[in-house]
Amino acid sequence: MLWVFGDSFAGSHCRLDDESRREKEYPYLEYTWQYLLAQKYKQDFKIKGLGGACNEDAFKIITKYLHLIKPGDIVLTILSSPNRQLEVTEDKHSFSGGLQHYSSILYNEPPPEVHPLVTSHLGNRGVDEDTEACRIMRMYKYNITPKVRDAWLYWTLDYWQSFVNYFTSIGVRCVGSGFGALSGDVHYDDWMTLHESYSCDCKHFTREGHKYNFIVLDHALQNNLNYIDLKYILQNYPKDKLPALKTP
Amino acid sequence: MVEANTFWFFGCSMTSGHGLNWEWLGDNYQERKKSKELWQQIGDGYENTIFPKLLADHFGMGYKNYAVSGQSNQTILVQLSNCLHLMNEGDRVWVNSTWPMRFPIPHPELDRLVETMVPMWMNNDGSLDYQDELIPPIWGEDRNEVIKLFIQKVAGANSQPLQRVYKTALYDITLHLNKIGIKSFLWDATERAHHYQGIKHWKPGIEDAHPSPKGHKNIFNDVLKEFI
Repeated sequence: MLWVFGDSFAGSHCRLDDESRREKEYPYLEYTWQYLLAQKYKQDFKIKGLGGACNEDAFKIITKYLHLIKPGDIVLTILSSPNRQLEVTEDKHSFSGGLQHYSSILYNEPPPEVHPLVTSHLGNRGVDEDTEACRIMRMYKYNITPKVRDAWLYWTLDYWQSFVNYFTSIGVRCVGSGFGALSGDVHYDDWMTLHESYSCDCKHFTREGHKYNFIVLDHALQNNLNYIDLKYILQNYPKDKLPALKTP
Repeated sequence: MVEANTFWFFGCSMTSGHGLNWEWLGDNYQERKKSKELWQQIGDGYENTIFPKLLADHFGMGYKNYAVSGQSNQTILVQLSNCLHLMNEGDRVWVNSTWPMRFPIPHPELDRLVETMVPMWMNNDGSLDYQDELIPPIWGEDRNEVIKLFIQKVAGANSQPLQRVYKTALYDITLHLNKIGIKSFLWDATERAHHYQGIKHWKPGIEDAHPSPKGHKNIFNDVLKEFI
């Protein structure tokens, strides 16, 4: 089985449900990087990405499926921005998929009705700047500095390494990719997104973007890499196979 | 010669043996403990009375205790995950989930997170209160305002949903470990700790609720029932 965890770049967001995209990209499933990798490595695939997820969401979903991941499987985790953090959503969660979708993927059993969902804050709208800073830094006295971001990034990669160590020990190949929101805005402009190609408001991959993401992740699997990000790709990937990337 | 299996422990002060055992302070703990008021009040001689050591000894297993006083559920979860690849069939794992209002936060000058505790409760009138003196200075001079904002807008005044997030993740891992022959047990300190004799009952005058040697012994006896 090829397992895919992470944020919307891992999930089905804007791939199967968006009618405008369907017209532009049809047929869509056969051109996704998930499908291409599953074909190449002769695996079925399960997509457990969550639109808007923070990395704690993604890791929680991995723990939920830990007992089903077997030797010979492949695990790909599309890590998200460290600026996304868990938050109690009360009744204000309005991101795509709705409460039921989030509840079912994050928990084995839905939380009690009296409990608001706790997930990435991304779906919550209309907050003031102080709260936004407080979410990320757990304090708002300090500005969001590269150090704060690096601290969360270090935490994220250290946590991911836990799973790398475990999966490797049981014969599961795995790659964590900074190709979700973790790479910042750079890949949005240059990685064949719908936004770039069709000037629509969706920043997820086009068919061409899926193809390149397939090449990148395939390269990582072939070379036993457990983590790749934009910096690595810019420095190491075969130039003739990838589009030019704009550096930050 | 067959290598002995290991009994792994993860959690907060309830499992670190706070007050009786100071190994959780890490390197040079023998010196570092001397600055702790609780050590000055209790002293040495109780290191081996804590339930994790009693359990490891009882089963004749190796002992690895990663519990640290004041640790958050978020960090307990990461530490448990960090050790998964080192565990072997026949090992045993104890995980204690802790109070939810503890958060690692980014250090303003270092590229890492630091653990902080926010002892918080809600009054009958719905207002929030917390033990100001226990909140570390890293939260800043305006910490009361910041913490109130964080609790109300981010963590939620009712901390149970946040607690549930981490407990279910910890539970999923312990279930998985049980399936692969590593007997594991999740124990929620927030629900269980008050059942056991505290240091304050053992030594009147010391205001500390962590388990006394008798409290540890009783936890040990209760846990044995679950592990047999």
